[in-house]
Amino acid sequence: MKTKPTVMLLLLAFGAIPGLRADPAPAAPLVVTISANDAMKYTVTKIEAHPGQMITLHFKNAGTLPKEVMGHNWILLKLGVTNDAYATPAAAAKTEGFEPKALADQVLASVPLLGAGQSADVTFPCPTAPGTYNYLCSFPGHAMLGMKGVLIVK
Amino acid sequence: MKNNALRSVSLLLAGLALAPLAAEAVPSFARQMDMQCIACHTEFPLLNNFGRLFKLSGYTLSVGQSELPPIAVMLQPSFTHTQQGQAGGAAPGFKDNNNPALTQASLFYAGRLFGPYATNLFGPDGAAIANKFGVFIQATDDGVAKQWHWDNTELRFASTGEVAGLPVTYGVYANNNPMMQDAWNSTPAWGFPFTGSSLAPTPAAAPLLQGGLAQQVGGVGAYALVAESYYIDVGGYQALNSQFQKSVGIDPTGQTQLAGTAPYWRAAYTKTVNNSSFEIGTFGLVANTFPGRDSSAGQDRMADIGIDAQAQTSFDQHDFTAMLTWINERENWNASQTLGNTTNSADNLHSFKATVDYLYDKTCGGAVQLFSVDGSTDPLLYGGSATGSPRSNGMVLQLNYLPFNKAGGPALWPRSNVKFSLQYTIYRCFDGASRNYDGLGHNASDNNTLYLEAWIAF
Repeated sequence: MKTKPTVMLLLLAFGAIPGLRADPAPAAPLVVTISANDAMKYTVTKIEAHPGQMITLHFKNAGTLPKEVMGHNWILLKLGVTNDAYATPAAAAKTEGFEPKALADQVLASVPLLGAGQSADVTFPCPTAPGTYNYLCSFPGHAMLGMKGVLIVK
Repeated sequence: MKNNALRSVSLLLAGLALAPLAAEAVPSFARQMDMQCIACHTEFPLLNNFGRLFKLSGYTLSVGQSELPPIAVMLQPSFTHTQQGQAGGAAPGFKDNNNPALTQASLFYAGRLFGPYATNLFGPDGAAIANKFGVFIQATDDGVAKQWHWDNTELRFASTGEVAGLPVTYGVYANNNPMMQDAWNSTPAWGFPFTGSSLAPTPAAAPLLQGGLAQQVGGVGAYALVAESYYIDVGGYQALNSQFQKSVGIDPTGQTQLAGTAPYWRAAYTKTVNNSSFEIGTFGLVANTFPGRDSSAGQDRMADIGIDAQAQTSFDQHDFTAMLTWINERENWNASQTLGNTTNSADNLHSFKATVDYLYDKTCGGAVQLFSVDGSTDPLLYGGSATGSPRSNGMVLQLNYLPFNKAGGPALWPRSNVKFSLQYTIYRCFDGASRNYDGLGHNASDNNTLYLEAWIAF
């Protein structure tokens, strides 16, 4: 019975008092695989992750059409940036794979434009601010046809 | 009976309209997108998902690379052979049979209304609005009729937005052919066969929406595609006055003339699953009309209601498209019967087409279509038929070779394309019978038609 006050004190010190709580174990890295095809759809349109969690994205263009007419990329936008706000100016940046350097400050992570059968990976830390982040293919018209999704951070 | 001749001309025009001359594959679009034709088409002019988006976006999507105006040219040299020759010539200036012709030579202004020049003209802010306007203007030299005329013509404004969190692509249009604004090839204006001979007999009967109003009306409408799945289009059409029609090369003689505004509607549901897209829809038009532009006996009334469906899938080197079109037309001949053009006071006409199109490696392929038109027997209306029946049915077989489709045109002019096609039309029944359909000893199979064509676009 003598230990009860001690336990209570420990609970107060490390558990119940905000700021003194021990940090939870970091979330395990998240691995996501997304394919895109000639029908201009992503196989995954919603990703859920924790703030700061490392995310590795495997991205593949599983289509058959040439890159010039059906290339696909994956662009994760910063919080509050809409697909239209990025895709409209990006459509004119063919020489930059529709990922213009001038808009780099709106992008959190990306996989460059891939042709049929090509794949690439990107690893990045999940944003720390909770919220819904848009991602899209910035090839002209593809986001309008639904080639987009969201990363939900919570 | 005085208008029987006019009615015959009208039916002949409707018949000619059955030789579809679709040309929705324009290199100026390819230059605007800086992409080859297969971005928007499988076998042109058959649209894929991206092509439908391009169209619903009012022909305004652009990668902004070309500095050329959105002008393009189309040539369709051809050769027509029918199983039996046509006494007196297949058309004025042509032999009874085995006729070479330049079916069409067309000039297009198609793409963004202001081409690549909107920023120079209006500055960046003005261009953002100006570049939401798109046009499709086609002027055609008909090598059979030997007549220049305006062809499918359309002005659009299109944009995107959100409604209740759902993405919406919407627009308004003004055009001269009901359904030319539609994005699916299972509807009449851009349906298979995309081209055909004007030097071969075609069935007399066809619903009004199957080309019967093309280039002789003007209409406006609005459309929206919601959540990439739900499509709605409503509009209305009126007849263009005869002086204007003549000024653009259209002969109004014998036309079925719209009286007042004819409402038009279209609704469709579309869904993409993996590499396949599906569509099912309905469309229609209700029209009060003056037969042969004769308003002396009141008006007829026609109500066309159609159902269509399309399935399209691509895998490896294969592209398949299946299309179904069914149109039912209710015809009330209040004026025509008074004028002695019809036997009945009301008739019914229905048309059905089922098509499968295949393309291998974007280069070669073919299509098969079963077609049928049938309806009420009306000896006066179908005066060219010994039975007075509109019944015709048969099959179209077509082989295609598109040498530049996959990689683009020659280095000299890469945004060009050509399609060599061999088309064979087989009639089991023609204007009411398979044998002696006209009482003059002609059989349906006499009209079987071999049509060779090179469709050149640059």
